[in-house]
Amino acid sequence: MDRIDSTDSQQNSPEYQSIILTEDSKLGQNLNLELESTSLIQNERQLEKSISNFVKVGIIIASSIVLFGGTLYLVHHGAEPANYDYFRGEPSVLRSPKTVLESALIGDVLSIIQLGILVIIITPIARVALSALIFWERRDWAYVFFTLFVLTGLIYSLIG
Amino acid sequence: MVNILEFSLLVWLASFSAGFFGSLTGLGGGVAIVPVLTTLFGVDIRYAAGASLISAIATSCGGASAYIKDGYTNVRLGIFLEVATTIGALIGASIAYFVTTKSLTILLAIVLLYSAYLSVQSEPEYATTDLSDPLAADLKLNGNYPTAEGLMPYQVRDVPIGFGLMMLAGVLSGLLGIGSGALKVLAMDRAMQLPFKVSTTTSNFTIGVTAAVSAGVYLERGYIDPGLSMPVMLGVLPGAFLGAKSLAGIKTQLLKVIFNFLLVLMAFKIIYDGFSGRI
Repeated sequence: MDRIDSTDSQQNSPEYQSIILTEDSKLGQNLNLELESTSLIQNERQLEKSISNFVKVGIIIASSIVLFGGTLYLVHHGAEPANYDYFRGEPSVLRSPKTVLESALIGDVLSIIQLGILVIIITPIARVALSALIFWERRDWAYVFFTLFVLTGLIYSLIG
Repeated sequence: MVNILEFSLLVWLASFSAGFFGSLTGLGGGVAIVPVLTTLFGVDIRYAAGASLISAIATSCGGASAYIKDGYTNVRLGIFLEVATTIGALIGASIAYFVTTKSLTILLAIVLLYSAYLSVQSEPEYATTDLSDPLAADLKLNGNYPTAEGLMPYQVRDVPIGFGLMMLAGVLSGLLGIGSGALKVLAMDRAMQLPFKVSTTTSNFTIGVTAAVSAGVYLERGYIDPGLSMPVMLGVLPGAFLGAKSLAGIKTQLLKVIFNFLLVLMAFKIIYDGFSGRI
């Protein structure tokens, strides 16, 4: 009599699910390998889907803010001449995330646009952080290391 | 002298094309933006560079969301190679004072031209599945990608060389503030023998992170202007997304031709910049 144990190890060892057939048949082993690789592929699809959706959300939020601010900007300033031929540097309020946020919240149009730009800059960084979390959850330590390394480099370059 | 509305519309149009081709070829949106803004619109190079950075990030994100879903981007490989570009960018930023950018850019131009020449040599479209790098298997880098005949598997070769080239791409990014998409695509296509569409989409994926490394610095220096970046970003995003949606329908050979054409343009532009003292 064969007893089939099914262990749903999705939470514990997220690498694969396995169905262990107590009878040591070749068929059983092949089935095991096939299910293992199917689950691995499914896990990869899940990882990819999460990253893809996250980036999409980032894009939508960023472009909504920029579109909103941009419309206001064009309405109020559209007829003014465009002066980009010599460099003056941005006013300091537009140069740091904190001041941009504060200024956007009180309705400064250029700050609103800059806020949307900040969101798009942050999106790849947040994507790295998200993937670190996903790999952590799966105990995929090599990739936890890789993503945390990249995240550290990103943060260091922003602060340093 | 144009007014802001006219200026924004024209920049939007240019950015849309940049996003489209940048996403399709894996070169990133920055390739076209800087020359177009500086030569056609007379924008100061620093503003143009800031806008270019935003367009590179937007191209990467806009393309990534579609390419990953469609199954072209090798996410694991991209993440692994981002380690290399991050190391490279940190090195590049720290040695920036000691290296003459002029000699570097000329070297870069030579590399680009030589690579464009190499790329037009014919080769089989689908990567063969033998002789893969065992490191690729250990790190789960091998994958498959959609083709007309269905999902084709491929193996990643020469991982250390690919890693090294990506590090070089990172150094150039850190030194010159560019996305280095060209070198990335070439590293993946030539050294790691990936199918061309996997190379372009995976390069596109990693550029966002590479550009984000410079973004904080550019913002703080005041190079990123919202009035200029607004039409750039709003143009690049739909362009990149459309580029991603078009990839499946484009024959790889045509894609390579477009890629090489842009490489040559970039090379000439870099040489011109180097000699005219812009760099």
